[in-house]
Amino acid sequence: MSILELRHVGKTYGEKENQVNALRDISLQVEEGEFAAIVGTSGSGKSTLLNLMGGLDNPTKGEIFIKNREIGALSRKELTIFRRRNIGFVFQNYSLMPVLNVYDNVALPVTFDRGKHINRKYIEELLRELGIWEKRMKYPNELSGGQQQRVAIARALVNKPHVLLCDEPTGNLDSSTTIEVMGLLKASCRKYQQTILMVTHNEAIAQTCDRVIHIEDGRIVTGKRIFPAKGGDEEC
Amino acid sequence: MWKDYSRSYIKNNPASGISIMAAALIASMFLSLLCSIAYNFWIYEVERIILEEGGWQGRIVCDKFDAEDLSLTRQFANVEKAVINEELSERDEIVVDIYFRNAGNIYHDMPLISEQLGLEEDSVRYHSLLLSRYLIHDPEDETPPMLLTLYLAILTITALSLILIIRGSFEMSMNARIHQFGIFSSIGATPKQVRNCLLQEAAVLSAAPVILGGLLGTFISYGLIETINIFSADVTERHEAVFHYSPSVFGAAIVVSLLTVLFSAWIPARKLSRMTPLEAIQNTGGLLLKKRKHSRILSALLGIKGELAGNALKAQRKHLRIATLSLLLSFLGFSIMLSFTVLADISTRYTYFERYQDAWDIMITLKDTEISDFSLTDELRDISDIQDAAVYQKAEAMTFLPERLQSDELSSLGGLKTVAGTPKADGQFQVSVPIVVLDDTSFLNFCSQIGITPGLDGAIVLNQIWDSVNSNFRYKKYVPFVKEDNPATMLYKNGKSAEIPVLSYAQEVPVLREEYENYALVHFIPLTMWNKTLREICEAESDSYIRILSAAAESPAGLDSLEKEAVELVREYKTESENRIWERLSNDQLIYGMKVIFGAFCVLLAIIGITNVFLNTSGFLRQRRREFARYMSIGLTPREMRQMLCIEAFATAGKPLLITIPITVLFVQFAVTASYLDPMEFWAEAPILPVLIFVAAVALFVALAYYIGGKRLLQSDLNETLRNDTLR
Repeated sequence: MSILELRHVGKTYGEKENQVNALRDISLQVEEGEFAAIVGTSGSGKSTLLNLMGGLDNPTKGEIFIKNREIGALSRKELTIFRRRNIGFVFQNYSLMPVLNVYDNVALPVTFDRGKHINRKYIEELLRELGIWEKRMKYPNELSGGQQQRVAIARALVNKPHVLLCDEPTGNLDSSTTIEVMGLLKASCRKYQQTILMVTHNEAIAQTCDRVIHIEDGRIVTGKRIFPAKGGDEEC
Repeated sequence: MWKDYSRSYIKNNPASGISIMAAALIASMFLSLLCSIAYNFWIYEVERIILEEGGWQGRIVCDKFDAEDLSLTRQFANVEKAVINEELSERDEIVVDIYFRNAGNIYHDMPLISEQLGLEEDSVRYHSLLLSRYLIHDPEDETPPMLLTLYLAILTITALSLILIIRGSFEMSMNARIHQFGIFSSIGATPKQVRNCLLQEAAVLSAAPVILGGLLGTFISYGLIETINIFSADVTERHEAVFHYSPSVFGAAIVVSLLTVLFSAWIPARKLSRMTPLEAIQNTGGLLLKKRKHSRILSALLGIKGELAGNALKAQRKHLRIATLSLLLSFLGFSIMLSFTVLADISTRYTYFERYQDAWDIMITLKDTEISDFSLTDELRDISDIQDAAVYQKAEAMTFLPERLQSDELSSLGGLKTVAGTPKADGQFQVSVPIVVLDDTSFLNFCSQIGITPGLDGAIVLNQIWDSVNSNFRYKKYVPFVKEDNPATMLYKNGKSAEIPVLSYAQEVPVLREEYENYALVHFIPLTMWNKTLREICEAESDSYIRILSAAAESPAGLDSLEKEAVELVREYKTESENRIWERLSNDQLIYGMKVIFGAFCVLLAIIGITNVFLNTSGFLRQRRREFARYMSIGLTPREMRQMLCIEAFATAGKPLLITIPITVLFVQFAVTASYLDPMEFWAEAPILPVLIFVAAVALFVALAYYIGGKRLLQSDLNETLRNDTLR
């Protein structure tokens, strides 16, 4: 059963001579519980695709369905609430609130739902699983990059979203931390039956996922892709 | 959580919080001070007018007004009170003072009252000075007094400037946080939640400073009014200003300040609600140029530094617009106020004191005394220090002039009908004849003055009227009123008439402290002639006057003793005396007092402008740490960055000043034209020095803000700043 579906989605930035087609006619279905990687070179449109899926940006053309709801038809407020309850985001640059400590950063999305009590036990469980419980009173600038990314993942998971969208979550991390973070994401996917879409430009990381979606020049590339090798036109 | 976030943000960004609190405190203090002072001056002005001229709004002056008429008047719905003014009423002239519930309708209601009572239109009087203080003007008056309107305009301009201080401070702080609110939005905060967070934070930060500022402003205005009272304690006939506290004025200042705070916080929230979360997240508070723009002049003059400075200013144009506008408004208020003071000063010179300074040294009013009954004229002249003494009394009659008697000059200006209205059935025009009865010696002296054979058997007619077509009231030109071939004038009063021989027509007047009507045929008549022909038919005003010119040196002590001696001589009469030097000193002191008040107000305006520009510039620089870190990271040296900051400082300070100067010049030109003054006379005394000092102060404080801000920028840790780029 598909949890996320894109129908002929396009995104154009700029006007007239400055117009750039970031995405062209993208159609895609993602099944529930799938861990998919979106791979492409810099500027291929992978982050744009992720942002559109998460309702952070609006498509110029096409429709996006999450849990059978067309998110383009939602009002600003409805979309925000829908996103809050169904989608978790992990950004490359962590996007943590510098003025809140780890615990408060993680609890923040829960507080947006009026009347919803903060499940402290669940937050503790999350932080312990991610190995940052001891750092809960620290501020983001007191943490390493890997720790900050764990906080960002914990924040994305705190509302138990159905879909987790990760934009280069390991982009700023060293290789050992990258392995750790990938392990955490996979574990989360299994434990909470979540669908994860992860943008990366790292082919090796992508190969560890259930499915790899290749994107080039704003289009999804199927079948064999051609990478011009250094100094020649060897197929990879 | 929001509270935690806001508290933590304020704690971790003290500069931002302090700048908002300082802006709220300063702006609300000045706003409250300004409103309180303006309110107190308005109250004082109204009190002064009421004390000097009475509190009536409308007045009926007629020869008969009985109890029934009074009752009828009181029955008008809008009439609050109608009373007969016993003090001014005489046997054949009743004065009724009318007070209205809603004075705004007075120009509509008074004609109705007069019509209901069957009175002539000219029996209605309006207290236009008092009414103008409530912004009530005669709808038919094409040039109503605009002084209060001007003050209100300056007050509004200044209040706007103050409001923009708060607005600017908030804009700087909030724009820097769009990125953070973008993150909030991406993890599920609705626009309403973000707006509420901002509003709550704004309210918490500003409530106490706004209230404290309001109270401070009120206390300072109390202190100012008390200081003015101390300074002007010696001014004669000035009633003391009493500080009036108005809860509504205080409340209005507080409410305006708080509303500005909330509005300023609401603006970024609205801006955010129009952005997608992605746009908000990508906003790092940096400078963005939408289109490629060249700062041609700056880049040609100063190379890449000029280009960078120009682009930075262009990219921040929207943010700097508030600072520019605020400085512009306070500079405009400052320069207009100063120019207005100079204009008022020049205008004062044309009044009374300058015009009549050589016409008198001592004036003695002989209360309820006919000139015929005064017998001490010769004794007065015998006082050793008196150079000349003239005794005179005024009266009023009328005459009828046929068109053939009008002068050729008057004919070319439209003739008698333009100055005397509709002619009678026989084609003659009724013209007012003010009469000045001079003691015989003074009259004979006047004959000699105009070069005719001295004689006491006729009148000298002042044959001139103001040519209002070719001159204005400031620089009056005169033309002859009548042809000078009429040997006698027939004067009428109370149904009787008398023929007065005309000894001569003159274009000059005897040396008296008197102003004559513009379109009247003034007759100077010797006492002998008055007693012989006119006294029987024409009653004179109740008082007579003695004008004394002193032969002694112009010292207050000398004039004092002369005044005492003259008053002592005429002690058997009921008198009031004035001494020119003391009058002058008192007047000068009053003008000085006014100048001090206006000066203080101008300084206040200047401080507001400078504070504003300082706060805005400091805030602007604080937002640009990343931008400068980037410049440094690509190799711009601290020296080059300092040069860039200097260029920016120059442009920041210069732009509002360059915009304001032409606007001020236009205003002054307009004001000079409207007040019929010679523009050169104004420009010779234009307040150039204070304006230059203000300009220098603005430049200095902008430079200081850039110096302090620049020093911090250059000392900041490059790594830390660039790292923060991703953190925030």
